[in-house]
Amino acid sequence: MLTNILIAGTVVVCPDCDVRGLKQAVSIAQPYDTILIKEGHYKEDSIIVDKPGLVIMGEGEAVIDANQKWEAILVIADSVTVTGLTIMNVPVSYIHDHAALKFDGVSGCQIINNTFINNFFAIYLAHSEGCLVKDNYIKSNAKREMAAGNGIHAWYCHDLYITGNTVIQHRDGIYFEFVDNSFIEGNYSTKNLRYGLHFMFSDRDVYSHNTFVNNGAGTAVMYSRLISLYNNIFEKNWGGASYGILLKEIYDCKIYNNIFRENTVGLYMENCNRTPIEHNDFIGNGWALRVMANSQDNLVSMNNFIDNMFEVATNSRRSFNKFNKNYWSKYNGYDLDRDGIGDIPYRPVSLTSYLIENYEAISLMIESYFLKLLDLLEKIAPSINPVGLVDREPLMERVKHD
Amino acid sequence: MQLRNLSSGSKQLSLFEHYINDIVRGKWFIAYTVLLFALIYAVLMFSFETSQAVVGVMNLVIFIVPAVGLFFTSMYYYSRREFMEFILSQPVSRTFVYFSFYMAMTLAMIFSFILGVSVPMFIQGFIPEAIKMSLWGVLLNMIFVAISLMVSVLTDDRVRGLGTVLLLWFFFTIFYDAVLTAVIIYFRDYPIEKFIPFVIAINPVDDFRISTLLSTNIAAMLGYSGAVIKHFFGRFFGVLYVTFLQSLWVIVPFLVGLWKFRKKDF
Repeated sequence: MLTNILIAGTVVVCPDCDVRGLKQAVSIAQPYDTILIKEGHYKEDSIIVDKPGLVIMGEGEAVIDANQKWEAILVIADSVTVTGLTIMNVPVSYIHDHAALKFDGVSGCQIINNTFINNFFAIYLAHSEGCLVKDNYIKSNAKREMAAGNGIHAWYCHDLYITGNTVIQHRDGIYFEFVDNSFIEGNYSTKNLRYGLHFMFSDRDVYSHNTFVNNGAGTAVMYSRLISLYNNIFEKNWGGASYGILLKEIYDCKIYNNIFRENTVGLYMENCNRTPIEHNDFIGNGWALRVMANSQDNLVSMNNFIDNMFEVATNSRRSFNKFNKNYWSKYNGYDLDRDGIGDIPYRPVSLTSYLIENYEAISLMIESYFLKLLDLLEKIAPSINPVGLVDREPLMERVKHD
Repeated sequence: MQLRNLSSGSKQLSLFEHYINDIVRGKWFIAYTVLLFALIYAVLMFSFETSQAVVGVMNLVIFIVPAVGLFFTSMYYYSRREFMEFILSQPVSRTFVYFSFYMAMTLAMIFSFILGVSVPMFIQGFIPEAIKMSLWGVLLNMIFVAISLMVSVLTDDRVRGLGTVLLLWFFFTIFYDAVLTAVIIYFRDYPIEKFIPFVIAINPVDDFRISTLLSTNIAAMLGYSGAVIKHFFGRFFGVLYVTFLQSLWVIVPFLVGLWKFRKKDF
């Protein structure tokens, strides 16, 4: 009988076969076999995959339903591939990080084209390396931050490649802690309760072509070095503590060609150092940039600042960063020599922006005629602006990025 | 013509009718209503989203409504002084003359507010916003007409009266916020956030501005103080406090004006 099932190293699982579940299939499979799960609804949990090289492949609507009991699949062997599966209903726990698909201490895993519905954590990678997470659709129905897990969670990993995933309504869409040398590319993260993207202590990572829309607090990047962020879109992260992107303790990164649109704060920098910010578009944000005085030696250049309520806010009268050759839609200087650079320097931190940053309660005066009067006075007599932050070569025309 | 109305039927009602007819047919009133309609319509037309539209309308309203309420009432009062003296020589109660004048003026202003602000908002489809805006319009007009009438009754000299009204308008729209800003800066080392809602709610213009902002997406930009004030306005006590203050702004000037009007030697 066994020889019948094990043709060419393939174990077939279906509701009416001899092998009726993934757990059973793993127990009889040899390393490097393929487990083919036919269409069906499999109520299984606590599946431990401990044989290297297995390819677990779903066909049609192959659903593993943990039925709110325990986590679904834990992989502890190298080079396991999971593809085409739907995993659902992994329960919330306040003690154990239940995940739909957890990889612990493995290398070379591949998670491709799966669907995760209503799980606590969806994809969980711990102490792993060289994993590919591609084209997964991850959706939960989390309501409270305390009782929610992350969509893609990676902890002490390196060399990950995370691409083309969609994460909806988890706590954090993509969460990295101690993850180095990884690529995060072309993902879409939305409606997450906290951050669309949240990473800490993760160095030398590349984030590109991702879209983060309408997450509770936007995205946050902390305690990391040598990060590249480019071609991402940060959009509609609106709320009292929402940021397009929050940077904290960041060194030697690159931020370019991103779009920050309609966020409460587009880019927030706290102790962010030696980071060039170039060729980004800041459109329709409450604050385009908020730069705390402990951020130094950053270069802000060739960006477009368009229709932001406040362009730059800072809590210091001195500027430790270089602002040069940006386009500011509020700039109304002239260009007599027609070289495309305005003849009058531009101060993007308005007096009102300075006041609100330093005396928080003044924000209650937003849209009052008193603050409008202050803005007018500042236009007439720019010397009343106490802030030293100046763009000496403001551009007359919007920058056309390549 | 108007005298015949006065001498027959209900005197008070016909006096009220006379005033309201006179105001509504005046070219100033018509010009104001048309201008308000045009401005609000334009703001709504060039706004891309609800928040922007509501804030735009709010900006116009806090500038124009106090100004027109104050100036129009004063100017009308002074221009109709002789007529009022003549009426008072007839057997009518002074309270009812005063009351008719106030009601006519307030209703006329509310009428123009509805035509100039609420109607364009309805036409452009901002229906819940229009209803809320109308309620505030009623309140603001009641307040500023009462204040202006009080000042006019208290001041016999037309120039001094209009000057006082100008200062009051400046006070409500700009100076109050300026003083409050100075207070916030001066007391920066103290936890004034809890105390600010009580103070800011005193000014009806600020009340209108902040409650409008809290209903738009700008609320997120008001930060910690915004959260405190939202909590304050959201509670029963806060609503009671604001309602009480706003009623005071109507009742106190109205009664002071009435008291002076009754014992005044014309």
